Amino acid sequence: MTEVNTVLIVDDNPDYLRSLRTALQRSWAVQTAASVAQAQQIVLENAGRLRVALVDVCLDPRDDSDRSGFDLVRWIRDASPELPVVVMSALPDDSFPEVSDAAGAIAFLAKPVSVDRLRDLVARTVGSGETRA
Amino acid sequence: MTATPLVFLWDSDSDGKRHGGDLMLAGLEQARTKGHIELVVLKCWCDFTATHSEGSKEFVRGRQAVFFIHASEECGCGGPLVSGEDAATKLVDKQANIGLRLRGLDARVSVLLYSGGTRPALPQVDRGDWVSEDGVAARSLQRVPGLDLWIAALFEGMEGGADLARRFAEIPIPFSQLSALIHDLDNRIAPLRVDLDLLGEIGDELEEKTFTEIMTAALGSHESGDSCTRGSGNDGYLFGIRRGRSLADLISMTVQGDDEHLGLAKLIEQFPEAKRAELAPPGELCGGEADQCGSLELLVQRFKLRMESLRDIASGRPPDRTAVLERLEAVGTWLAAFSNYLRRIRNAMPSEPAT
Repeated sequence: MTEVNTVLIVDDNPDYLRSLRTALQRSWAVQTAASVAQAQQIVLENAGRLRVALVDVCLDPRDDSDRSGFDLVRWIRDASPELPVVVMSALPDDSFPEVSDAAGAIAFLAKPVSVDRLRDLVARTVGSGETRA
Repeated sequence: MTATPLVFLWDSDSDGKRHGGDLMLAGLEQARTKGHIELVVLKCWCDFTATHSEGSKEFVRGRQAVFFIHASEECGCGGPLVSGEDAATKLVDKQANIGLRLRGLDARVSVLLYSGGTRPALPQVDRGDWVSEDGVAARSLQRVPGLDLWIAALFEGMEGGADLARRFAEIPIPFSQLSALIHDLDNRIAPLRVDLDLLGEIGDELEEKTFTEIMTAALGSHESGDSCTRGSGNDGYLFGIRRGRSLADLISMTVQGDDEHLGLAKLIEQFPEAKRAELAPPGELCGGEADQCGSLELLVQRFKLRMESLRDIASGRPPDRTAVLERLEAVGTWLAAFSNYLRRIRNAMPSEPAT
């Protein structure tokens, strides 16, 4: 069972999932997903325990044009309106912060992200109960 | 049908701030000046719907109407919110009021729905497709150098919508290559940035288990540690093959190019505006002053040397932990500088935004 104060990380890069898990698990429980379907299942099964979701924009490792992370953000907004979402991406696209905001995310992080910045954002989000709902 | 197409532009980014909309507007203005089109710039979608009043709809009758619509637009004046994608959908929907009326006026409708970043999400089209002849094209359109000239040329001697579709498809997107390379590179080095932070914050207190996990993930695990095992098994994210190439291959291909990509030197050469002194490789990529770099190709050699050094130190039995961390830091610093360098080149191109 997922613990209270759980962070969900969604990224198709297994190395990045491992790094972020290591960085965050000292302070929070961590769930990871490598695809939209996995993330949706975790969200549905853990209502009330997830405190923040970190979602990568491009979730298809074979397709740079994939933007299904934004679709996932919109889905979370409908399925779990209380769950704050932070969007991440390594794509050099200046419109992403705006698109993330429009999709309902509370913040956008450009990869690579420092551990300090990531922990600070998660701490503030979990601590404040920040939500877009 | 009137020969001169009637072109509508809805893009609030055409505000003189070097956004994509400015290039779109500049190109269409050139076409208008040459008499190839009649141009109507819409500040909001309701500007267009207002033309459907009894007094003005004759303006559209019997004409070829071409709509350039920025996907991220929103119009909320006097009713429900209408997005750029909503507007494009209604224009080509023969059941919607606007689509029905346009066809009732014998107008031939073509729509280009474009976005600088995100893929327009019309269900019937995908990125780069064009459903011409009363259809809609959706395209992720980067702010390429000379986009305004390409847009203006779309209408040179144009005789029909199908021709327009073909011409539009020919607009190159050279920066999408560089953007894709930056994406690939930054995705690969994202775990390294986190791992270096983790290694640095706990130093000697770092648990052996965590240290080993991070090293294995970054450098791989080779039981024998000899050269025969290299390239096989778990090579770690710094040495492993991802999407068909190693990190060193990616750096090399970015600089030198291949069959599908322009190398950095050719890319810079192609766009003279980018040939500025500040675009010389920074000293931190060259191990010294910038003028010691000599050529971009030397960057690749410099990176490979750092990687070899890292691997040699890491394969010691037991590895010198301090030395491994130093080499790993050096590689991480180099990669971060290289990523920043690529972004500087991308942003220095004449039509890219200055971020």
